[in-house]
Amino acid sequence: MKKIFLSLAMLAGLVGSASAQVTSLSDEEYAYVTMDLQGILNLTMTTDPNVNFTFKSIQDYKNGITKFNATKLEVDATVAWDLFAYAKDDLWTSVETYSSTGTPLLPAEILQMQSTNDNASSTPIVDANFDNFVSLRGPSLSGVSNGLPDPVKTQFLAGKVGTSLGESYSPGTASSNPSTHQFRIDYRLHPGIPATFSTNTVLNGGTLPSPGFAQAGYYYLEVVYALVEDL
Amino acid sequence: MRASLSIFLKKRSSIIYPSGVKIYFRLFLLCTLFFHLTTSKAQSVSFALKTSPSNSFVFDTFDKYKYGITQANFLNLKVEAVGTEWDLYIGSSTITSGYFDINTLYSTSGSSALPISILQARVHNTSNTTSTGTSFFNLTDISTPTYLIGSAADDATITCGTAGTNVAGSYTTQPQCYNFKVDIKASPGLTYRPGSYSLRIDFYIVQDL
Repeated sequence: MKKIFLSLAMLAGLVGSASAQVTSLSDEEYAYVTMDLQGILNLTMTTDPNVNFTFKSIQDYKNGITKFNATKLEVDATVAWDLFAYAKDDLWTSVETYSSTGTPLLPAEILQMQSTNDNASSTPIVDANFDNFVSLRGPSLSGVSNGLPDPVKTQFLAGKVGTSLGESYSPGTASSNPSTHQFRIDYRLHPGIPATFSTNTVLNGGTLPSPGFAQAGYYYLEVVYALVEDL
Repeated sequence: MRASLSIFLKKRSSIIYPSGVKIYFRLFLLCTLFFHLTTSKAQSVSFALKTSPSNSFVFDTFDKYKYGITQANFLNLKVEAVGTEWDLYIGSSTITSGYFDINTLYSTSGSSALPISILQARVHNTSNTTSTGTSFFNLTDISTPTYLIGSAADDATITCGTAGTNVAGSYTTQPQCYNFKVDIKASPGLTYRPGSYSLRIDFYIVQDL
């Protein structure tokens, strides 16, 4: 009987200890967050992409024609960026000729451009930016290859080749940074009489091909504005 | 236990016990009483119906960068607290304290030290019983967490119906005090390097001590 009661006492003790409830005095919940920051570069032209020059008077030829604020560009970027420009072709494309004399081979460089915003990055040569009217370079003179600029030859509206401090523009939006992320471009053509475009840099040392003056006609040229991540 | 105790207390008058049995009987009573006394009232704190969500914030437009991205009801915390007051706090866990973990980088420009503070949380329930109010607050490292209920010290008792309820209760019976909705907002701005970053947000419920 003693053994029975001793066993029962031990059993009761075990039951008692087993039935005591386990306490959880802390708990945790986890949430996992992934953030995907994508680089965005937006170049917006807010004006008519077609800019027309019509030379129909002696005054037009003699004094040239300047189109102010003909192109407006806005840059929105989430990364540091550079902006450069070049002519798509070395020569203007002749669509129609109006006379039989003169040369139709007009170099891209007869077009002059100027940006209202000076390039804050110092460029290696004077006409490598558009702070003042300079001839726009075609692909041969600008050194642009496969869309990539040349560190010396390419003309920049903003930034330059290089990733050091001061060689690019900061991320931002045009609406928040109008003085650095908005550009107004002026164009100028000055044929002269005869139409030699002698005030501009040309391919063959400053003169047009023989007979040395432009043939009357209709021409067009594409200007390429390239916005790239800081290079 | 009480049921088993009553069974053993019941004396059967028809049975005559030897004197030695009384000692063991008393010993038995002592043991059961001991276990009864030492077994305190059950205490526990827990989150019920855990989901451990995984969410992604993708910034692929300027509007998202400009205005941020908010995910409402990112997480639902269902609190069960039994027999004890409790604290609730939140913090983030990363390899480098205070900064997102880097999964991969898409660019070479910009800073890759993305602070966790660009992530904000808002924890609220229908009774607005949250110590943090209804505004977003910046996340911090788990080593310096933000207390949503209570604090690191022993807190005064706050019953359900008052902001900051910390008494025992359950989301099943009083959801207005024990069911918390968590909103998350991310506003990285434009200064950081494009890439994929991640972190873990930890929610802790602990006994108020």
